[in-house]
Amino acid sequence: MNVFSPWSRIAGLGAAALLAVTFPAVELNAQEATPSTEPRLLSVHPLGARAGSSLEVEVQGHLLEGARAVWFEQGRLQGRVGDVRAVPVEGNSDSEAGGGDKPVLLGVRVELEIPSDALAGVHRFRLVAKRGVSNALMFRVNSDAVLDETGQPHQTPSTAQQVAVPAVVNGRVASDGEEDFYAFEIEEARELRFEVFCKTPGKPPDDVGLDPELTLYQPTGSWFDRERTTRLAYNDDPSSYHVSRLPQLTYRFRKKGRYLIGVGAFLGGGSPHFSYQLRISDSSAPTFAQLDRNGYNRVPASWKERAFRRPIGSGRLALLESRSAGSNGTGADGTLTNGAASSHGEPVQPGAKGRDGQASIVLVKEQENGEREGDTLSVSVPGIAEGTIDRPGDVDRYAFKAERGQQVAFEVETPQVGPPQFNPRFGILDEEGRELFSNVYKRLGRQLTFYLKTVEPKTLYTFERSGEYSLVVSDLTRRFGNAGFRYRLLLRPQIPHVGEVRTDTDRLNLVAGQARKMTVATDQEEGYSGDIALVLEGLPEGVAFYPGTEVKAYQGPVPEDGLRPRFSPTSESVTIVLLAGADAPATPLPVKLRLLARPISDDGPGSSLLIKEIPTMVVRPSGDVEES
Amino acid sequence: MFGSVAPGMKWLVRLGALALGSLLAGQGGGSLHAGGSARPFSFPRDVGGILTKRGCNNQECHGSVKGRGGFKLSANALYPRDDHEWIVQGGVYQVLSPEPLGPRKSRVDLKQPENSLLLAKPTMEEPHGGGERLSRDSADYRTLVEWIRAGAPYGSEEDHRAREIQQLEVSPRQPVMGVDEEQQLLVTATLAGGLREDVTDQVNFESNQPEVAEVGDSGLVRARQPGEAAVVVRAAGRAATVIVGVIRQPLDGYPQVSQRNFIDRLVLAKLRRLHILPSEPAGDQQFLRRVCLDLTGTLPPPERVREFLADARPGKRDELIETLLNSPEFLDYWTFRFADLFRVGKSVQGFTKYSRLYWEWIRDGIARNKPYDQMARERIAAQGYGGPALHYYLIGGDLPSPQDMMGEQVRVFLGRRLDCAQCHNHPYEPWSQNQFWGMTAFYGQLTRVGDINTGTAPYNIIMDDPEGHGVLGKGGPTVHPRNKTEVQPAFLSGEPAGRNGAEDPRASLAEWMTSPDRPEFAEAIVNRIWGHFFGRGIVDPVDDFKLANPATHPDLLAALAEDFRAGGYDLRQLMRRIVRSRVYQLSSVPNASNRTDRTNYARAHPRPLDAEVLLDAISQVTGVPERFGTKPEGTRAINLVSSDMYPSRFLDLYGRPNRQMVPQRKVEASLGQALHLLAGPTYTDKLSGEGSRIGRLLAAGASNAEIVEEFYLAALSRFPTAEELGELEGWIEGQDSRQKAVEDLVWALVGSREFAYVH
Repeated sequence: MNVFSPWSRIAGLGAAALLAVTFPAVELNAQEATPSTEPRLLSVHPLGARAGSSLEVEVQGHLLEGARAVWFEQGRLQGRVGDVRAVPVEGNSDSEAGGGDKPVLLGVRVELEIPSDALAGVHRFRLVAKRGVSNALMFRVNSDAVLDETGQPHQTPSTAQQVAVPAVVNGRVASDGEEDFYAFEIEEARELRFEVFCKTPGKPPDDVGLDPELTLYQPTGSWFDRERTTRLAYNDDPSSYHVSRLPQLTYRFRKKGRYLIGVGAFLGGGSPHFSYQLRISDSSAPTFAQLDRNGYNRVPASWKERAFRRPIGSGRLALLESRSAGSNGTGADGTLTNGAASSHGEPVQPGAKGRDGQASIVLVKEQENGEREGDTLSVSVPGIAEGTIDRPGDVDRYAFKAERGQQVAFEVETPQVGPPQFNPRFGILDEEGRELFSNVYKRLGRQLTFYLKTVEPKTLYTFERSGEYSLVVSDLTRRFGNAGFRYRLLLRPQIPHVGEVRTDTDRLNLVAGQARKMTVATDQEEGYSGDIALVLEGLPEGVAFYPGTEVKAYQGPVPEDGLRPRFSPTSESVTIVLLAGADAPATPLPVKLRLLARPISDDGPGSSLLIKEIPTMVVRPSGDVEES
Repeated sequence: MFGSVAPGMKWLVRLGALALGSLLAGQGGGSLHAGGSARPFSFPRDVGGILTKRGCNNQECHGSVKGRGGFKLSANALYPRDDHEWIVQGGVYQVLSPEPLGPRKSRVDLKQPENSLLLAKPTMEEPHGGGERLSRDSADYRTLVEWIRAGAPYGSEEDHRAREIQQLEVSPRQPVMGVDEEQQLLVTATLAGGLREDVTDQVNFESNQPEVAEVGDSGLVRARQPGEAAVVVRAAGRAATVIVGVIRQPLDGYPQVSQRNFIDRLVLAKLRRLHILPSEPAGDQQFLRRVCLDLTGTLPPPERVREFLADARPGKRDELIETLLNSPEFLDYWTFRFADLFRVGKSVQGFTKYSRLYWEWIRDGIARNKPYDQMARERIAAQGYGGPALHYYLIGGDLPSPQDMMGEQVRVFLGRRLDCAQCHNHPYEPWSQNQFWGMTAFYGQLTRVGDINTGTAPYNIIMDDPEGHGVLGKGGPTVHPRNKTEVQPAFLSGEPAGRNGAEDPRASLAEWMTSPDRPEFAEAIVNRIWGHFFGRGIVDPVDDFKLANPATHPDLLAALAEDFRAGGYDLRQLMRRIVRSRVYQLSSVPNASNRTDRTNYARAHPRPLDAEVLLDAISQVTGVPERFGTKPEGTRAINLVSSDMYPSRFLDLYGRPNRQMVPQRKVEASLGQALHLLAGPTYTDKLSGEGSRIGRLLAAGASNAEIVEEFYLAALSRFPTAEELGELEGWIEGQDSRQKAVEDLVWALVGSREFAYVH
């Protein structure tokens, strides 16, 4: 029985607890959100295997003493933990390898069983060790056969490992300056895609990762050097590491012959943690990313209010309504799942209607063929303008009517190519052709030296006059355009609702008798003024939580932030302190702690929104599973 | 006598050259034509001309940036309105303000013209730091007196336009003189409407090499010693240059020299005029090494040297040139060269990823042989997120100032340095501060969208935004720093950019800069490329085109530029033209007539290898690659994308530029280089490193003769002479350690001048 809190088990909510952000705060001396005393995985090698196979992998990381279980977040993959060994650290460019005051680098042998019906794609797993549950790593299941990198040196064109196309190869850029070469024969006029999957660098402390580069060569020789290769392609062009560090290139071979593909690290660094999976396939085959979308893989989707790639479809209004107070629409289990699997991304058919009780969204599709300069299409509010900036200088124009005082939200989606390549700019013009506003947000940065300008995926505006307005869509620079520069622009009434809810942890290892802090930030969108109740479900036995306070460091004077409400939500954050009682029993495996948010206002409570499922464990101070 | 005019005849040929001022006395309110009819004063022409001729407005005197003694005149009377104001209204000039410092006091006395400060100073009636410039009995003095007496008028614009000098011609155009001979220069002005007038006694003459040829106030040139000198002739608002050649002695029976293309025709024609004989064509070994290094930055391997030298076919050189132009090594090397010029570096773009994308854009352009004007337009007008747009960043993602960006583009693509005109009218060139800021205004809208530092939009996009550059406090339109007015984009010619300039300013600028109607763009790049192959530009430094730095071969420059334009701005074709010419393939061995010549391409002049090429060459000869950080083994220095990320004592000692500014590689021998040669790891560690050529040869049981020959071929692209071979064989034989002896041999070879130079 929990002795700390009256909030831990509230009648009527089962194993859940309700915490309103307006609750009085309790000051507690708690640990930081991501303590360095938790198990931390750095790499797994090999990085993937074929469905229906079993194999042994080594997982390396810190604080893995007593590793005893593999925990897959979803799916039916299973693993059995074997030996744990200390990994000797050699000089390499990876600063995370250990040494100095850092914890010892450990390797854990894991035997994996991959069912033959396992979904192809990424499977996230964690290790359970003495100190709790680790961060997640990704393991890729392939439907095709997977080769392993040869044990022989193949870091030069002349020693390249021969592979047959199509191929999937598990490899590792193990040391500085290493570039792994794979040779293949190809017929004339065939088009291949090369792509690499790996753990890419992230933010500290989990920043160990490979920033891979792909280079395609032809062993042409030259007058100077008969062994010389000629570089045919490098990564993808144009490439943007802002969107993805995973390189992909597609190449059409004009000549039959022998070619080489090289896998290395950007700037040439190497590390035992730099495992990768190289895939060579016909360009018509699905990409890694497409395979991942087919399954349940990757991190469960969280609500993205402002992302150019969030889908905008027929269910958008309903989904927004469900995030507002008084909506009272819950899913089958009483919660909504953040929209990840909802219909809001489904394409809208022209003239499509919304849900019952919802305003209809009417789709207007710009016809690129036959489009003439100055053509204007009419769009209603709510409505979606869909088109393509298919050539440099293309400008699409729409007309719509708005009433005085009407509060409209404009949301842009780029379903295919997005920023920084395609930066959709729209402007709203009045009847005289004057631009009232655009989705370019200008303000001062913290450095106070430059104006910071960004193209925003969402813009709010209240019309001061009734009338007909023009919506003008183009690429920001007007220099670019192609068939991939597609956009969907939703014009809709503003709907006050709960926006993104963020936490600062991906796992909780609660030490019995100690407190642990978790910060939750909530966005209030489009004038939402109600409360947001945060709910934690599935607390382990003996664990309670309290609202906490946090003293924020002074950030300096607030710079001029322009028309911030037009482009940004209001944000608040709350600190939750979790206390595991001294007698709380240790959990042998993680439990899924569900963080939910619920909008509440005078209109009543809204739906519970599932924010995150957090693997949570209670561990004994000694690290033992059970002491009592 | 070579085309000069006998001194005694010089006045006879100057028909109609009556000194203007000599007829002015007593004529109130106007001047007189040579024919005697009255003419109103034109300040720009009459007074500006005198100030120019007397040197009052040169850059050492009142034409300097701040003027002199509080009195500011525009250089060369380029801005007569300003000059008139400072003379008539008086006042002390301030650089950053249009307002005068302190109260104004006129420099002319309308009631008593002879008491005017304007006259009292140059006649030394009052102390004058510039000394006496005008005597009271001179015609110019009398002109000034009469002008003041007439009320010191500016004159009508109509009259000024009618009398404005449109062009200056100097004859003879290309005088060639023997030592101690004299040559009178004649200067003819073409006025608006086509009227031509002898202005020899109204202009200022100045030699840039008075030790070669000095010139007097009257335009009489005296040859002093063999060489070339540029005589700059300045009239009010205009200037011209004539190259004076001074030869030691004429050659009898100048031989016929065969030519391969127009380059040979034009270079050899000048050599003939100067009585300089070209050296003999270079031998195969010299040509092979030179062309390999110049086109690919790579030494030919020993087996290729053997093959080439053994090949007796007459067309083998042209065949080799084609092979090299299409080699992957060419792509590597010219990507490196343009990465230098276009300034790729982590410290320049701020982010290694950006540098890489920018570098890839350059490499792709070279690989596809993209027309150079297209590359220029893409770079000048770049927007969005991609290679050419990414060059605009500095560390931290900030943008350089608009004036810096503009100045760099003009220097890179037009070969002009406008920097001086940022704060004031250019003291030497006809570029005003207004023109500078008019050009800057093309960059005034360049701004950045997104911010890699904030995470809200973690990228940077370049675009032109009418709201302006975006620097806090400097946002909005471009403002002239002196008069604080908004500046509209205007081309260097002064022509406003118009509507296109407002809508897409940098695209408009790019079109203007690369327009085939304008010779500067093509001339700048052909001169730069020429400078690469000859060690000296036709204009040198290669990016400093200016009046005082004229082309040594203006006809050649124009012909190369025209050929480049007509050929579609094809860099490979330009290089092909150059390296196939006889002039390029001349030997570096001098003859008696060209021994001291440095500017006429009569022979090849040894050029030091660039730091990166030298380091790669040492690695190639020794067989031990350099290691750059975490880059793969075997990565060549010329293939480093952001060279500034890799500390290298060797590269720094031998002149690697940091690319923060447009690089000017001028390698000069230094004590540091000498010490590095003695004890530096580049020279010592590579000799016996793992996998070295020495080790391979010794392990293969090569004889001493074979070892010597192999290293001569590898390092110098030639066989050792019999004498060298004999001595070296014997020397190695006499050493206790054969390995050590060979190491010493290789050390001596890679440390030699013959190795470190293209010759």
